[in-house]
Amino acid sequence: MPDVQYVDSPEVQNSEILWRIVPPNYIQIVSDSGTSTIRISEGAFVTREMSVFRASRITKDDALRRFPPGSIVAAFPASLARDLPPAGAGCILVLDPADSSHVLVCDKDNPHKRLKGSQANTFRRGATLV
Amino acid sequence: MSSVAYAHEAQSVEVFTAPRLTHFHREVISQLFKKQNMDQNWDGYGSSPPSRELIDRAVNLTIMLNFDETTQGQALALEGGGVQIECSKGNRELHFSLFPEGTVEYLKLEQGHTVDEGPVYSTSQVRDLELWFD
Repeated sequence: MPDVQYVDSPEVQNSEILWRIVPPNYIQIVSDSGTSTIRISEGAFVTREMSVFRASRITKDDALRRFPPGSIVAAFPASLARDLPPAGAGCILVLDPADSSHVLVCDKDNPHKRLKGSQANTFRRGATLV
Repeated sequence: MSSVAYAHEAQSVEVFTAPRLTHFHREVISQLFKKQNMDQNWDGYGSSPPSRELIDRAVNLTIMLNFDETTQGQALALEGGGVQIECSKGNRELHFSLFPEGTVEYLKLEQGHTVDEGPVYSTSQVRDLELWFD
C-alpha cells in the first residue's frame, strides 16, 4: 500500500472483529466417528502484512467477492492480534489509508517481516469460522 | 532403504538412497507436483503458484523424511509462492514451510498448541525433529 505508515492504528479498537479470508487451499474436512469438522491450516495466516477486513465496515459478501469460490471467513478480535504471546500474536494493526474496511496485521517488531508459524497458529486457534 | 532415481525435466538424473516411500511420501509428493498447476492469484491475495524449483526442494525434503505408514501428510501452497508440508501422527504435528527466498522453517504442534519453531538449517536437525515427532 502506498503512503502507509506502519504504526498501530488506535482507530481499530481491541473489541473489533477482523476477518481473514481463507481460500479453499487451506481448508480441510476432518471426519471423526461420523462427525465432519472444518479445519483450517495455520498456513492461511503465514504471510507478510496480513490482509484482513473490519467486520463492522464491510459485508461478508463484499469481503468474499474477489476470493476463490469456497473461501471462508476466519473471524477474530483485534485484541488477539495485539496481545503479546502466548495470549496473542504480538502484532500491530495498520489501517489502509485508501480503504477504512481494510487493515494489515503486521509483526510489531518488524512490520515487513513474514508472520511466524507460532503467530499464525495463534490466529488459527483463536479464530471462529464464519 | 531403497535407491531412488529421481528424473526431472533438467538434463540429469539424481540417484540417491532414500527411506522406503510410504503413503505419507506418495501423498505429499503427489500434492506438491499439483501445486505448479495453480493459477496466478490462486488465493485472491495475488499469489503466484510455487516455482518448479521450490517444489523440487520440497519433494527432496519429503523424500528424506523417515516416516512410517502411520504418518499422515499433506502439502499446501502458501501466500507469496511458498509451500508447506504438514505431517501429523497422533497428537503431534510437524510442519515444514519452504519460502521462495530459500529459507525453510519448522513448526512443532502438540494437540494444536505451538511447542517450538525455527529455521531448518541441516539434515541432522531434521533427524532431531523426526525423533520428537515419532
